[in-house]
Amino acid sequence: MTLKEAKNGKLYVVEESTIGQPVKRRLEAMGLIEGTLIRKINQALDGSIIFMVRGNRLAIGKELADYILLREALDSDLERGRRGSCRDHGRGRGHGRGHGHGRGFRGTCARGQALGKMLDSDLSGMEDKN
Amino acid sequence: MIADKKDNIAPKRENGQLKEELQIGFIGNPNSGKTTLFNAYTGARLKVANWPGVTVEKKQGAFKYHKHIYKLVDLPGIYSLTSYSIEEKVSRQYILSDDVDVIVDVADASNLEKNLYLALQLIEIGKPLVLALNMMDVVEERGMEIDTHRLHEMLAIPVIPVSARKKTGLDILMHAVSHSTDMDLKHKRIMVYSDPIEDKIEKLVQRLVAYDPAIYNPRYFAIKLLEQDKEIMETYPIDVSDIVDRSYETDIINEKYDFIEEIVEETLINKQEKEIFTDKVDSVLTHRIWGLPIFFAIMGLVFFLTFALGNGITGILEQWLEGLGSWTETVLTDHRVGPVITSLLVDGIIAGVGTIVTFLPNITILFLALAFLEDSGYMARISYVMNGLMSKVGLSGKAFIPMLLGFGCTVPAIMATRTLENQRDRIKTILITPFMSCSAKIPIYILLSGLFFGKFAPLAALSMYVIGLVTGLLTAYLVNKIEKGMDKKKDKGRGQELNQLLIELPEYKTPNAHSIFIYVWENVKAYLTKAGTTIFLASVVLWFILRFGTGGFVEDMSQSFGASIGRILVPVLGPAGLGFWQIGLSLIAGLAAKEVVVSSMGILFGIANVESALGLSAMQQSLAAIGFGALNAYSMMIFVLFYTPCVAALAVIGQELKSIKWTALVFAFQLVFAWLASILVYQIVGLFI
Repeated sequence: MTLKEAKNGKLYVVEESTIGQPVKRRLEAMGLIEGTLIRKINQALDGSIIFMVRGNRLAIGKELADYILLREALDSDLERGRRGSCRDHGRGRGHGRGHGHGRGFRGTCARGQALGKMLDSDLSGMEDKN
Repeated sequence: MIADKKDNIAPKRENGQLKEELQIGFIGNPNSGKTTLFNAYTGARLKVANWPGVTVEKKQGAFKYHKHIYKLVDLPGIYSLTSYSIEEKVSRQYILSDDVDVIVDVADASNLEKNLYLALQLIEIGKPLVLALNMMDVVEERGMEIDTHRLHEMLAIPVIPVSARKKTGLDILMHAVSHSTDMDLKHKRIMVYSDPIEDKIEKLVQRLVAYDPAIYNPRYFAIKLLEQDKEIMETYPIDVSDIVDRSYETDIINEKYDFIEEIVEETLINKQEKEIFTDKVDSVLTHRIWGLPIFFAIMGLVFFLTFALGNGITGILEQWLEGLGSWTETVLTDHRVGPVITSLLVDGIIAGVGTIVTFLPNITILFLALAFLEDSGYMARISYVMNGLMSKVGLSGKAFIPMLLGFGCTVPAIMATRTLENQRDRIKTILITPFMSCSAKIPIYILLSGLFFGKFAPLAALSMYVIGLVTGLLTAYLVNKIEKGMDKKKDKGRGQELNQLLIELPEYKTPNAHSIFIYVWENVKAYLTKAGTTIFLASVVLWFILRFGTGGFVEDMSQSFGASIGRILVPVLGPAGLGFWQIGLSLIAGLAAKEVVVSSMGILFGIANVESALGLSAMQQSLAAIGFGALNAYSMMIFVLFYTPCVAALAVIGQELKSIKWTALVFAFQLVFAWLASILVYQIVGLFI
């Protein structure tokens, strides 16, 4: 579905953004990338939309909203965070890292779970608005 | 506070030499408090408000820290260091230049996650960098905690908690800055990408070093080449197509966000649901149906307060000024000062400058109201609420922000169009912003409506704002139609998306008394300064040309040079009901500054009556005597609403359009438009009365 069809107060996952450049890049710098959790907040009569992504509260025009495709957030998204699954961090973090001590490969998805928790509480505060 | 500290750190040395000056660049996301921090250090009073894009220009300042002069540069807020928008390009060029010694990334700590993207990009550049976690007071208020030690470990740059508003941590931040001049981030890999990308970076680094052995931070440029950044590809025109088979920009962005999530997870404790308050306010102010009516009601209230409330105080000032006029005259006569000098002082300067000063309460109230709109966080919402209406005339809701600022002063409003991404939108907005009645027109509306419309005076004044707004929108609509007609042949494709609304909405906050004070005071000061300079000079010049004619000093002003100048316009302005030499002369004088229209009327019609201390009614009688009635007054208000803004506004339009031809066109357009509109009003309404 498009952002326009989404419901206020609900959480979704960004599946695809087909907005042309350079606006797409700007949105990415503001946190809207594929796989990110997004919460729609409000929609005006003209179709402009307010939504929340990565702590950014953004207002966008109708035509942009049409190019942002979403899917409903599943429990697994909330638990596992942004990408729906924890990617295998086989990227050798740690070598050459500034103050490398104390940092190792995180096998679990602790951060994703924390994110999920955070967004759960987000939901509970919002759902009555629907 | 900072300047007085004893010198307890070793002065920085560069090549064994004492470094006297350090240039520090403040960069960060919009609305993260860079300018507040800049003001806190330099004692400057640059405008701060709660919406993204307040600062549109690079501003410099200096302060003393431990016997050294530190230069601070405040940059417009940016979201990333790509080269898409003008601000981003300017900021990136500045950061990569040799001018800057240390970069301070000012981040809003209460919303760490969204501020880290830019931080990671800055780290990659490899210049000495300090992260200032601003708004720590808000973080504490909300019961959140940030593990700054861990943040420092993960980012490998100094992380200093500060609060620009509460002025805490300022010393420590500068201490960190002074110790960071020789920081070398270039050889640290802080943001490590996945293996396939790291492999490519490594290969690119080798190519880059072979191409330019003296290259500054090859890793940064390698990443930019992977992103297929146009500017960097032009700087390093080497063939890397075997490595960069496609743009890896999205991959790089995604991996940065992975790292950001990791950072947030490890350093942010007790992330709170602080958005609930903002959500509640927004459910009213950005309501899908009521949002727009509420906005219009707020604006109606703003102008009602400006005209109704302001006028009560104005009355007191007026009496005081009349007292000053007659007192000056008595004193001067007592001291046997010649009648010419007395006339210059009383009839010229006090009548001219004084008339303007009496409108200070109205101006103050207007700017107070605007300050509240800007500092509360509502400003950005206005662009959302107005987006529907604005898109009908081919503009984005964001273009309404400059227009709204135009109700205060056209000059900063024109500057604010810089935040519009689309060049055509900018030009259109620059064209119509002067139609939003600026505060300098308030005295004219109050004077004329007060003289002729009795209890309907506030309504008559308010109608100017409505007419101005509607005309502005219609103009944009027409220009848009013409543009579309011209574009029919060309396929514009996705470029069209540039004029779509895209704006960050800050959280609501209680307006800060200090920022409001600065905002109002700076504007009041500007108004008074204008009264003391432009208006003062114009009053003196007007007095001279009205008191001297071909035969020297004249008692009857209709024999003066001024009258001759004004008479040139009589036939032109006749159809608009403004065919009086006095009016013609005031309107010409008004090109210097709109207030001068009123001050010159003060000189023209108040001149003989200052002693009688009847102010407005005396002026009304003089005007009635020449056959200038209510309809003429309304026609004049219309003319003033539309005609060319003051010299300062015209200068800034020229500067922003970067074209003398276009500026001249704008000037002519507004002059002709004002003329036609006032004729239309005078003739059509004249049919019915």
